[in-house]
Amino acid sequence: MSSQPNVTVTVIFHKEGPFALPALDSMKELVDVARADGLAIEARAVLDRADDLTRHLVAARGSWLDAVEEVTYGDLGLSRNAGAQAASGEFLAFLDGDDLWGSDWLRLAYKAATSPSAPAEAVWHPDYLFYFSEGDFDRHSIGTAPHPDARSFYMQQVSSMSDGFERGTLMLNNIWSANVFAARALHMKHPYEAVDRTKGFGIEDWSWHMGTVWSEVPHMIVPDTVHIIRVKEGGSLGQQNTSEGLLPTLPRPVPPTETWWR
Amino acid sequence: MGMVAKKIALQLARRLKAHLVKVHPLVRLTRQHGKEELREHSSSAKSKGLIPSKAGSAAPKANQQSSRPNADDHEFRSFISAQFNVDWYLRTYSDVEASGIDPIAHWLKAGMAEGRLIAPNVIVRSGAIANEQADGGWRIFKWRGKSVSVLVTDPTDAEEFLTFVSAHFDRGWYLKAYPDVEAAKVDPLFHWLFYGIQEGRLPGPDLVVRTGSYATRRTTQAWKCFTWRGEPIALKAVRIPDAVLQQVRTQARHDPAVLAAGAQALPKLPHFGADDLLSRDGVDLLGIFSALPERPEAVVMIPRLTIGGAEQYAADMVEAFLGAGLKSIVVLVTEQTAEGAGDWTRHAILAPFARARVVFWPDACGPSYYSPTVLARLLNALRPAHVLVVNSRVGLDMVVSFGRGLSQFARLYCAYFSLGVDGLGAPYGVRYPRKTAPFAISLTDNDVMADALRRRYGAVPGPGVHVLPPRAKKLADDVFSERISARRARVASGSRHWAWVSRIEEFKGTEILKALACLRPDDEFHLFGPLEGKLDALGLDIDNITYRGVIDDLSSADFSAHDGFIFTSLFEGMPNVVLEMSQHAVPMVLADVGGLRGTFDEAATVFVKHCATPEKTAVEFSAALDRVAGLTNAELIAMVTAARRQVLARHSPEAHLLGASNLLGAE
Repeated sequence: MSSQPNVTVTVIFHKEGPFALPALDSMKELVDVARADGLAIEARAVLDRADDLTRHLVAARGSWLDAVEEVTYGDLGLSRNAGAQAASGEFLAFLDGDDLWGSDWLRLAYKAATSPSAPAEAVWHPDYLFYFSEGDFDRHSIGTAPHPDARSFYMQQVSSMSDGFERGTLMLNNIWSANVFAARALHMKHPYEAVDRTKGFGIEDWSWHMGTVWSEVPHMIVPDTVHIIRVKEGGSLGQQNTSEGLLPTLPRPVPPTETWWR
Repeated sequence: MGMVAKKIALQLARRLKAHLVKVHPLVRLTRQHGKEELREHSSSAKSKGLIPSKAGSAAPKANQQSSRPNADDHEFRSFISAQFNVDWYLRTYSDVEASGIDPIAHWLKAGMAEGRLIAPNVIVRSGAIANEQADGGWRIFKWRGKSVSVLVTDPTDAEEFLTFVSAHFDRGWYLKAYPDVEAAKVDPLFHWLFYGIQEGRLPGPDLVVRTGSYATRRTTQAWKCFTWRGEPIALKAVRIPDAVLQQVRTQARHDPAVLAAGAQALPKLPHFGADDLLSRDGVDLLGIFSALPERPEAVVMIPRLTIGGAEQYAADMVEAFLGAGLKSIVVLVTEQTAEGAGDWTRHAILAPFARARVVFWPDACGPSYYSPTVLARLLNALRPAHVLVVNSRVGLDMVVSFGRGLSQFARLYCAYFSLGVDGLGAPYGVRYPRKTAPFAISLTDNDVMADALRRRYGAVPGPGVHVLPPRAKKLADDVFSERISARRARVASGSRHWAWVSRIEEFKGTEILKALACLRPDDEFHLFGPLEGKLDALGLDIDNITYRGVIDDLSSADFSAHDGFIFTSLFEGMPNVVLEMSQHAVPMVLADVGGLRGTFDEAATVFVKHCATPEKTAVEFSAALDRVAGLTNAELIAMVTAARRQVLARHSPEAHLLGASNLLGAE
């Protein structure tokens, strides 16, 4: 690309295997929709300690990508930092290599982030997360009422600027997904921290959200957008973090004594 | 008759009919109030001579009450009629509207029994429950001889609630989700309003509901709070935008699993607000924020506020933290609500907790109070310098799972008191030390336990084992002298009186006590301590065993009339009750358990070793009691004085403070 892209969208792969295929197809659709809307999109992949199958599938189905980079961090936060470093776009979007995304995500996120009323600096999130479970084939409904045991569900995300928002909520759970849309400059200013299992701290996206919120960076919502997240039968990354006993890193400096949640 | 004439006749007939309805009360009543009212009106009309009765028949006698409404019924009906919202009733209950029955008559005859409302803001209860509503705005009536209570609430509230619910309630979804409702052919909205809410049934995927105490805790702006039938209820309407649904559906062409739950069901799948932790995780954020307004310097976790050695140990640690200069201490009661704890402040041993902020974790946190993850995240946010876990299961699990991170900013202490006996019981001292040792100081109150912990897990890299003997409240010297004098002046009678002071449960050796009492039928055994259940369940309903209840303040109790104190426990750490009894100048006969020998020697007490059976142990105890009974006054005085001295040497408040300071400052 001769001029700076509007957006660099980076998908991060590890050992997704066949899940990488729908992810790449969905990402291509995302990119095509944004380009059709006139945006200059740089599409990249970062393979962090990927296995051979994932590497092979990315090569087979990802020839349309502008760049594929291999790293060996074994750490989602550091992978994203590497992706941010290598990116050329004014704005960055990150994707996980086993998910899918509503095709309007990039287009609408860019529009929201560059609108005259947008904050000078902000992190943008999809309006909804749709978690789908392949196991729901065994809990399938052919009617309008879902099976009572269906595990697919929606999570509606919230803006930090909305009435009644309590940032202390973040002390007790992560309230946003990891795959944000934000200016490259913001990512350079707020890099992700590495997981430190020896000290029991990690959960890079949660820690990043806390750090940016406490740095007064607004977290905004892009209406009518959705990320489609695969619920893995073996447990989510969040569940893995819990099983490893990891805690989020608090924003530094740790807020003073009064009203610890504000 | 020609067509024109027919038409005119029909018009006349209609006008005549309308006229009759208008002018004739009986006709109007028949149409409007149903047959029952008609019967009542007829009998009234006959009594007034408005309608001729059958020839020769007299007017109804005034004393024929059984089938006639009485004054109570009339009062009730008048009240109900005044409150009745006919239009609303017919709109709400389409079956009534279709039948043409007068709404008020329908309700009195059947609707009240079915729980139907006469208006959105009027609540009616009948039967036994009616008599329970004697205040709070309820009015009690009699209808057909039975009590009925009525509460007229703010009409705006109920109407708003029903309007909101009606707009989002999914009748089809409800019937599919609850086939019993469909089989009963009950209106689904009616069922949910009058049964489903209380039963916890969901109203559909477009509405999220909170009831009870959580209903008043509106955690995000999306929640609307109402009052329904006198109870709070909060609702949140959810609807997935079409643009989002369309994008999800489209992605199924890349992975069909996106629609695994069913394409048609997509809009109705469960919905959560990401910041609504109460719905997502069962965590009441506002409850936690209000219970913990500031960061504490120390957090002490205990399961319940109850009388017990572990609780006393924790309370003494609160004193120690305060003595060490810590100003802000939170006592997190992890398994008990405030209601369950009752008036815990009346127990003297728990008094130090009153100097801390006591938080009943189930009340503050909500449904997920049992989750170590939630607790760990809270402590990560609070960042106390010290975290002490005393018998709290969730606290121990938290240390096991998250101790690596928590220990980065806090000194963690897990208190372990004993190892059980011969595989009986599953104390935490057996199950947890290996797992918490890498992150937390294994804190114990006795050397026997400390030795066992060091032997087993001393090689695990971690902060190690620390002994902090429990604190004994020192009785004033002059009071002890008075008790010595009373002991000296005491003249023993034929039968002996023995005090048994402990929590009354099997592990405290109640089998031994039973056998002992049987061996010594002429002696009296007085039991003091909390009792769960009944004495006969423990076999202690024996003539010479008397339960004397709980002593709120052991230090001020009087044991001068007792020949001795018996302690038959099967296993212990360092039992506080023995330390306290040492201040009473009463000879002590103690099971040789736990760390007692770390404080007492044979000059101060009579030790009894446990035998293979309770009966054999009882024989040994009986021999010990004989020995005590055979001591001279001087020997008794020497024994009780030695006991007090040995306790104060190791367990005085000063010794405890010094030990605690070493613990808190130890590397």
